Amino acid sequence: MIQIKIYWDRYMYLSLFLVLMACDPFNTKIENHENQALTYQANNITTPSSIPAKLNVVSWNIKFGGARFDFFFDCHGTKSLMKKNEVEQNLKLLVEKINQVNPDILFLQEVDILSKRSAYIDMIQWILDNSELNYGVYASQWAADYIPSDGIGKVNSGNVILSKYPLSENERIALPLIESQSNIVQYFYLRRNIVKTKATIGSQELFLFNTHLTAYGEDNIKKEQLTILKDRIDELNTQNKAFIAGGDFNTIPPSSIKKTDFADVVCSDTEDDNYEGEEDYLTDFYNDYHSAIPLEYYKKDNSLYFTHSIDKNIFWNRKIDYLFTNQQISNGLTHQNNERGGLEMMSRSDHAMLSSTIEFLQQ
Amino acid sequence: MKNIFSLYLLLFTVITFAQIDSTKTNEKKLKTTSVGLFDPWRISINDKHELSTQPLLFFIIPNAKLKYQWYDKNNTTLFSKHSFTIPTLLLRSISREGTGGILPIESKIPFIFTTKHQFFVQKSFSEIHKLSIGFGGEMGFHGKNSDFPTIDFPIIFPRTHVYTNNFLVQGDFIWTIRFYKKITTCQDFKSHRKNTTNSCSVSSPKIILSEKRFLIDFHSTYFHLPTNFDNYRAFEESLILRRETYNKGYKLGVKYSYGTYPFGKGNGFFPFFDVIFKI
Repeated sequence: MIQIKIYWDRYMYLSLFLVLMACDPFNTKIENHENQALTYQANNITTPSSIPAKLNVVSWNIKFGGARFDFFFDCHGTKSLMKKNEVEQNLKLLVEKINQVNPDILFLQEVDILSKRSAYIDMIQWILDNSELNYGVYASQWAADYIPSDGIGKVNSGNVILSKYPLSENERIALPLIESQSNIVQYFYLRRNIVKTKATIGSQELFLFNTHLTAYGEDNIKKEQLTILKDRIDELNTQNKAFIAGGDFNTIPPSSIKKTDFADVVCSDTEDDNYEGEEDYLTDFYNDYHSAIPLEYYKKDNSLYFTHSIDKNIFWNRKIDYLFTNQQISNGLTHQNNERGGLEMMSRSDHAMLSSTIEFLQQ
Repeated sequence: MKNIFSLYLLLFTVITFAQIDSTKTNEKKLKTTSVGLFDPWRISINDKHELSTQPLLFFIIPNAKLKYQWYDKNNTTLFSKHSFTIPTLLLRSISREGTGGILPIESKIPFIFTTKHQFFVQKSFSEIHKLSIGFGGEMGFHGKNSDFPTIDFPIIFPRTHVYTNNFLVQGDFIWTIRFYKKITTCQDFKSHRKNTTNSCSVSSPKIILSEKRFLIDFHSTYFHLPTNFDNYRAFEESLILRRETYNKGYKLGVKYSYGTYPFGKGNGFFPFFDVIFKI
C-alpha cells in the first residue's frame, strides 16, 4: 500500500488559494495581454486606384454603436445591453455616415469588438466589410471576462485606426490609471491608451495616433495623459516625420466660453461637466501644430465646432474631439447636422464626426 | 462594499454547486453528517439515502439533493442524484444598478424552478482506483414575462443555462485515486476522552477509529447547452486534492473550463478551496 505523508495544513491551502486569486481572474490587465495591438483586414481589399494628392482624415467617437439609447452611465435611463438587431441598425447609421465622408484614414473611439452590451458584434470587422476601408489596428481600453456591474458582463472596447492603406509598426501605448480609485474599482475600470501605427501611402510614411483620454480630471491624470501624447508626437516632429494625432481628448479648447454646468449632465456623482482648470491643457498642441479646427475659428463661435452632448434632446454643446498634425491641414469640418455635413448626426452617436484634409503628399 | 456582495454571492453559489460529489452513499464512515464552507450539508440517512443542501444559501436559493443507491455488489455501484433549486431570489438580488449588478436592473425575472437528475455507475478496481461515469440532465421551468440575459462566464454559464433556457444534458467522468492510512486513536473509557497519540495504555486501549485519507479526483464534465439560436458546449476538467481525517476534510484544486459560449470560444482556470467539517 502506498503511503504518503502530507504536510499541507489549512494555512498552506489558504495561501495557495490567495495566490491563485491574486493573479488576474477576470483578465482585465490589458498590459499583460500577449498581443495588445490587434490588426484587422477587410474581407475584400479595395485598393485605391492611385496615390492621392490629399488624404481625408476623420475622427469619431461612435459610442460602441449605442447611438442614442438611454444607457445607465449617462443617468438618462437604465439600459445596459443592446440586442443584435439594435446594434446592427445603429452600425448601419454609422457606416452610412462613414461612406458619405469616405475617409482615407479613420480614427474611431469606443469601438466594441467582443462585448455583451453590443451583442458580441465585432464592429471593426463590420465597418471594414461595409466600407472602402481596408486595414485596422485596435487597442483595448476596457477588456474583462466579466464586469460585475450594471449587468455589463464581458467587454472588449477600445480605439481603432482604420485605413485604406497598409499599416505597420503598431503599438498600444498604455496611459496612467486614475490613482485615487480603489483597487477593486481600478481593476475593473478603463485602461486608457494611445493606439499608434504607421500608414504607408505610396513611398511616404504617415504616423497615426488615436486616443480616448479619461473623462475625469482627478489626480491631474488627464494632463499627464496629454503630455504622453505630446511627447510622442514631438519626438516624431523633431525627426521631420509626418504624423496625425487625434481622438476624444475629453477636454475643451482654450478660449472656451462655457466650462461647466452643462444642461445635459444629470448624473450627480460625475465630473463630466466640469472643465474648469483645463483651459490651457491643449495650448501647446495648438501652438506647435495645425488643428483641423484652427483656434481662431473656434474663438469666433464656439458652438459651430461642438462635438459632444450626452442628452439626445440637447444639441452638441462642447468640443472635446480633435485632430492635430505637423502637415498642411484644411477643410476642417465638424459634422453637426444636415447643414454642416450633409446628414443628420444627433441620432448616430453622442459625438459629432470631425473631418479634415491632410496635404502632406504635396510637400 | 455592500455592492460587491452580489458578486461573491454568485461565485459562492456557483462554487458550491460545482463541488465534486461522486461517492456512493455507503462509503465507510463513522460520521454521517458533514458541512463545508462551499460543500453542502450532507446527511447520510442510511446505507442507501443521502440528503444534502447548502444551508447558507438555502434562503436565497432553496435547494436540496437526494442521492439514492440502487445497487452495490462486486465492486460496482449504481446510484442516482436528484435535486432541485429555486434561483428566483438569487437572480433578483444580483439584478441591480452599479457594482455588483451581475444582471441589468431592467431584467424581468419570474419564478424559476429547476430540477436535475443524474445516474452514475461506479466501479472500484482496487483500494486505490475508483471510476465513475454519470449521465443526466437539468430542466428549467419559468413563469411568464421572463426577460434577462445569460451570464456568459465559463463555469457560471453552464450552471445558469436552464434559468434562461429549457434544458441541458450533462455527462461526467470521475477517476478517484485514494491513498490512505489508518488513524489509531486511544479511547479512555473512564474519562470518555479520545486522543490520537499512539501511546495507549491498558486503560486506554488502542482502537482504529477512522482512516486518514488523501484523495485525488480527476473529474471531466461535459455540458450540452441548447438554445433557440445555437447549441453551446462546455467542458470542465478538474483536479481536486482532498485530505480527510476523522473530524475534517480539506479540498484544494483547480478547474479548467472551456467551450463555446455566446461570445465564441472561451476558457478559464478556477481555483477551489474548501474545509469540510464532519459532525
